[in-house]
Amino acid sequence: MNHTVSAIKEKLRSFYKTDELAYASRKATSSSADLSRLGLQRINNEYGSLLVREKRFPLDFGHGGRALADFLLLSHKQFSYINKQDFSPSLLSEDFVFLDTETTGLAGGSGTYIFLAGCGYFTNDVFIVKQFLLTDHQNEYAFLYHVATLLKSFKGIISYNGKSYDVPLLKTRFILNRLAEDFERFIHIDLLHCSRRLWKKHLKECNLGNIEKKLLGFVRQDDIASADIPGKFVAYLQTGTVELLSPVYKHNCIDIMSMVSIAILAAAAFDCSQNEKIAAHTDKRSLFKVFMALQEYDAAFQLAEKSYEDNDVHLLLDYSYALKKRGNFDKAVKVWEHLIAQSSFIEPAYLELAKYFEHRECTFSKALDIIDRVQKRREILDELGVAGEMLGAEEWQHRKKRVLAKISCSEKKNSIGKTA
Amino acid sequence: MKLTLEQIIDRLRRNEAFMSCVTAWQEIPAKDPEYAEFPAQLDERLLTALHKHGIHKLYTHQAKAIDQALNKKDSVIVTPTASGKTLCYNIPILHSVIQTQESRALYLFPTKALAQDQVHELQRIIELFSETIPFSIKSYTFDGDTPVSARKAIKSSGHIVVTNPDMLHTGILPHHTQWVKLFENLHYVVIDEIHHYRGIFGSHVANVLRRLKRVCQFYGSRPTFICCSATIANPAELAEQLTGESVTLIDKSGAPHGKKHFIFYNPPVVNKELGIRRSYIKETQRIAADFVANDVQTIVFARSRMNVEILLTYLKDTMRRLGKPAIKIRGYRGGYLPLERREIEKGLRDGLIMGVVSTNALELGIDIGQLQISIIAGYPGTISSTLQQSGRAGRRQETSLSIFVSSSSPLDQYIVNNPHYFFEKSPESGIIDKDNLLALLSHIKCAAFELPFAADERFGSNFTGSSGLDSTQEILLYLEESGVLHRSGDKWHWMAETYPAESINLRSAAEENVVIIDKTKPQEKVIGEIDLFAAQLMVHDEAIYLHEGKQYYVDKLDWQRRQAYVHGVQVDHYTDAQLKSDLKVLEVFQSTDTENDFTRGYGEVVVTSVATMYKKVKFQTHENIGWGKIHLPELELHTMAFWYAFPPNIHQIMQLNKEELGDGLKGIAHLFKNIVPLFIMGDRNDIAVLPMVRSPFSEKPSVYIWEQYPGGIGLSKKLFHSFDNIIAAAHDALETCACSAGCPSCVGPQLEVGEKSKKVAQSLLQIMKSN
Repeated sequence: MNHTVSAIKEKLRSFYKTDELAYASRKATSSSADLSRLGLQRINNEYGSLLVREKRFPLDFGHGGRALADFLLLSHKQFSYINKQDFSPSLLSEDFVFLDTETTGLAGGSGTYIFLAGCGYFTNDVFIVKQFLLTDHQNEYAFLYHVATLLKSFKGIISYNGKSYDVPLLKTRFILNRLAEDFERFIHIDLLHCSRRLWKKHLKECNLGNIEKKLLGFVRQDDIASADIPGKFVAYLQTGTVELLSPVYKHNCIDIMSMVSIAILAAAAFDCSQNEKIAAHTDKRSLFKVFMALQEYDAAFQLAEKSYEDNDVHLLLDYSYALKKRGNFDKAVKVWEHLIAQSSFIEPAYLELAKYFEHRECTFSKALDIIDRVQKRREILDELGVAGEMLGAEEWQHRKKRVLAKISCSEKKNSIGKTA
Repeated sequence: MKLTLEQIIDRLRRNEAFMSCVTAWQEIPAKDPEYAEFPAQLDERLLTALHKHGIHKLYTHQAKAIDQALNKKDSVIVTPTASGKTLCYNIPILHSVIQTQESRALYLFPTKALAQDQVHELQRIIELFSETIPFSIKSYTFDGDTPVSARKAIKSSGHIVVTNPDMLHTGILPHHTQWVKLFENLHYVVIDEIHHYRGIFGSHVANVLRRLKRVCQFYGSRPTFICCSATIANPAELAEQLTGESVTLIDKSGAPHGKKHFIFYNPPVVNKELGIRRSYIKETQRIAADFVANDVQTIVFARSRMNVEILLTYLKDTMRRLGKPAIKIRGYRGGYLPLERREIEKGLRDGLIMGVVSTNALELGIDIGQLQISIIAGYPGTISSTLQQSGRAGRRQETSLSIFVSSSSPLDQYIVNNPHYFFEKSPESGIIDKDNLLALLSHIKCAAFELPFAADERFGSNFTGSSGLDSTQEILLYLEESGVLHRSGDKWHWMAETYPAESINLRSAAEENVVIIDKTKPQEKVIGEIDLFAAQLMVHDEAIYLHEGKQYYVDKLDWQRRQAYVHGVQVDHYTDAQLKSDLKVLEVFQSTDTENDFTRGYGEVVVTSVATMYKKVKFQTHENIGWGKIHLPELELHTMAFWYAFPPNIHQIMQLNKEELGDGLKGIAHLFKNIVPLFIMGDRNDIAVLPMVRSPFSEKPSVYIWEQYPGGIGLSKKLFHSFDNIIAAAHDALETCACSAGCPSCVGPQLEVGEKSKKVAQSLLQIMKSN
C-alpha cells in the first residue's frame, strides 16, 4: 500500500467531518503557588500523583437553613426512617461519608471516568469536604487508591442517586484498575430515594436543584450546568489550566453540603409536629408506610389519626387495612364511615364496610344498605361516564344476591323460631 | 387415497408434461450412519444423563468435535441440517461446567429466535442432571427483551449465556465490569450459523470478537471457540477470519440421511416470440398443492414477502376447493409477530401443519423438525442458500424431495439451464473484510471505550491490505487528534462523553419498524411489523397488505409515528408499488479519469429512494386494473458505488439516437444486476444498478452499481478492479442467448427495454471490451 499515514488520516477525516476537534496538545503545568492559591495540593503516592482540595466548615456553619451540627444529632432511629431500613443503635452520624462524583460523561459503561470524587465527613467538631482530582488518566490508580483509603474508615455512604450512578461507576473504575474494594459492605443511604418517597407527591421534581429551591430555600448562583462538566475536564486535560475546574469544585462542594441539609430535613419530616413547612410538603402516606415497615405502629397510627383533617384518602385506607389486620375493627369502621361520608366515591371503603357488616357483624340489612348506596352511586357515575377504576358491577350484584339470600334465610329462621 | 412420497415421485416421473420441463433430476444416495465412542475423559454424570436422554453413541463428527473442544482446540463444524450439531458444543461445555462450577460459556446466534430455541434445548438436557450434581446449571438468553430485573442474576450466575452479536456489542462488552464472573471464567465461545456472518455484518462481527478477546485477556481468560456453519466454500477460512485463530475443520458428517431427489424445473414457454414462460409462482402453487393435499409435509421457499403471501393465498384457495382445511397451510416471514412464529414452528414439528410458505427466514436453524419436500420458488441467489433450503427436507431414513422452480429472471434461467453449475461448482465463499477502514475505526473506538489501548497494542493481528493501514496506532493517533481519545502515559483513553457502541449498527437493514395495526374491530390489534424500506412499498396509503393470506386495506400510513392502520377486506387484487431511485456522487475515491473516454470509478454516493405510485394487479390473471399515487418522504442511503461512463458522444460514434442508447444501457444494467452477484460472491440484493443516459455528475451516459449497505462494504472497489471480467461475462451471456431481440434471460423482456436493446447492448459491450 502506497498510502501515507497523512493520506489515511485525510480519508478518515472525510468520513467523520463532525468529529473534528483539533486542539493544541501542549500542556502547561501549574506551579505549586498556583495550586495553593486555588486551595489545591498535589499529593504523590507510590502509584502517581493527584490533586486534593480540602475545605473545613465549623459545625455552626449554616447551609439551606440548617446548621451542620444538626446532622450529628441524628439518631440511628432517624437514619432508619430516612432509609426505610432498620439500623443498629451503634450507628453514628460520624460513620457516614457523603459521596458525590463528577464524571467524563453520563452514558455509563467502562469508558466513563470519574475525575472528581468529593467526600464529606465529620471529624473532631468540623465538617471536612475533601475533593480528589484525577490529573490525568495514567494517574487513575493513584487517584482511586486515595479515594479507597478514605472510604475505608467509614461504615456508610450517603449519596444523591449514588445507588444507580456513583457507586456502580466507582466499582467499575476499581475493577478496571484491579483495586479491591467490597462496596457491598457499606450501608448506603441514597437520599434521592428518600426524597422521592417523602416529597415527590408535592414537589413533582426531586432533583437536587428543586429540593434546594423548594425546601432548603436557596437557588445556586453561577452554578455550572451538569452537561458542561465533562467539557471542563477535557479542557483541563488539553491545557493543563486547573482554574478551569473551579466551577466544578464549587458545584461538587455545594452538592455535598446540600446532602447534609437534606438528610437533616428528611429526619425532621418524620416528626411533623416540629416543622410545619416541611410537614406541608411531605407525603404523610409515605411516612405511614415507613413507620409500618419499621414496625413502629404507635407512630404510624398516631400519624394516621391526625390525618383525618387532611383527608388523605389513600393514607386513611392504608390505615384502615392495618387496623383491620390487627383486629381493631372499631377504629377501622370509624375510618370507613368517615370515608363514605365524603362527596367523592371511595368504593374500597364501601366494600370494606359491606364485608364487615355481612361477615363480621352479621347485620345483613346494614350490608344491603351499603350495597344499595354503591349501586346508586355507580349508576350516576356511569351515566356521567366518569366511572374510573372500579370493581365489576357483577361483583356487587353477586354480593347483593348473597346478602339477600342470607336475609331471607335468617327471616325464615326467625319465623320458624316464632312458630315453634 | 393418499399417496406416499415414493408414489408421488414415481407419478412425477411418469408425467410427461412435468418431465418435459425438468432440466435435471439428481439422485443423492442414502448414507448409513457412522458412529464413534464417547471421548474417554467425559464426566460419568454427563454420560448417564445423555443415556437417559436416549443418546447412547455419537456420530463420528460429534466425537471429533467434542474431542477438539475438550482439548481446547478451536474448531469449525460444517455438517448438514439435523446432523446433531448442537451436541458438538453442548456436550463439552456441560462437561466443563459439571467439573468446574465456575466455568462459563457464551453462545452467539444471529437472531433472538435461535437463541431462545437453544436455551429450550439446553434446559431439556440440564434437567437430566438435576439429581446427579450438587448445583444447578443455569442457562439464560440475554438480549434486548431480557427484563431488567433478571439481568443481575444472569450476569453473576449464568453458566451459559446465550445472546446475539448485537447485544454483545452494545450491551455486554461496554459494561464488562458487570460481567466479571463471566469473563474471568470464560472457557468456551460458541458461534453458530457463521455463514450468516458475511459481508459487512460479518466484518463487524469479526471486530466485535476482537473486542471480546481483548476483554477476556484483561480478565485472564482464553476461551476456546467452537463455530458451526452451513455448507459454504470456505468455512475454515471464514471461522479463522471471524475468530482470528486457526481452527480445525470438521466437515465429514457421520449422520445418516435418506435418499434425496433434487429436481430442476423450468416452467414451460407460453410465448416463444417474447420469451415468456408460465409464471413460476403459479407453477409452484400447482406442484405444492398436490403434495400438501396428499398430506406430505412440504415447505415452499419464496424470494420475497410479497411472494410468500401470494403463494399462500393461492394455496389456501386450492385447499378450500379440494375440501381440505386451509389452516394446514401457513405463511412464515419477517413481519409476523414472535408468538405467531412460535406457534407455526410447533405446528410443523407436531405435524399439525402440512405446508408452510416461507421467506429465507426458515433457512436458519430454527427447529421445525425435518419435512419431506422442499420447493424453492425462484433461485435464492446463492448455492449455499439453495442447499440450506433444500436441506429442510430429509428425515433420517426416509426419501426426500427438493424441487427448484425457476423464475424467468436471467440468473434463474442460467442456473436451471446449466444444472452442472449448481451440482458441480462449490458453494459460495463467506467473504468478510474485517480490516475495512470504517469497520476498524468504529470498533477501535468501542474497544478504547472498553479498555484503554496500550501504546504498542495491536487490535487483532496485523491488518490486511484493505484498510491501507500498517498499524493500530495510526487510527489511535487519528482519534486522539479528533479529541475522542486522550493519550496519557503509555495508554490511550476514551475521552468523549458518548457511548460509541450505540451509534454503530452491525447490520445493514433499517432497524426502525412500522407497526401494522388492524382496526377491523373496535379492539385494535397489532398484526405485524415491517422495516421502513419495505413499509414504503407494502403499507403505503391505499395498499392492499397481505398477511397470513388475509387481505387488509391500508387506511393510513402514519410515517412520523411509524404506524400503519389497516382493516380487513376481500378484493380480487393486490397492489404492487414502484420505487424511484436517484443517485448523487459525493466523493470520487479512484477513477480512470480521461476526458471523452471510457471511464470507470468508484466512490461515496447518496441514493434516495421513494415510492411514487402503485399498480393494482388482479389475482390469477396478473392483469393491471388500476393505479394510484404514493406520497411519502424519500429514504436516503449513504453508500459506495462503482460507475462506468461512456464518452458523451457515444451515440454519434455508434450511430444511435438517444432513445436507442437508453434502451441499450437499460439492457446492460439488467445483465449486470444478474451477473455481478456471481463475481462478488454476494446476493443480488447486495447491489442495485441504475442506467443513466446523461449522468448529472459526469454528464456522460453511465451505469451505476451501488451497494445496498449504509457506508458500503468494499464491493465497489472490488468491481473497480475486476470489471473486465464482468464485461466479458456479460458479453458472453448475450452472445449465447438464443432469443431474437431480448428476453428476460438477457437484457430483459423486449416490451420493457425496447426492440433494439439487445443489439445496442451487444455493441456497447463489444466496445467496452476493447476499451
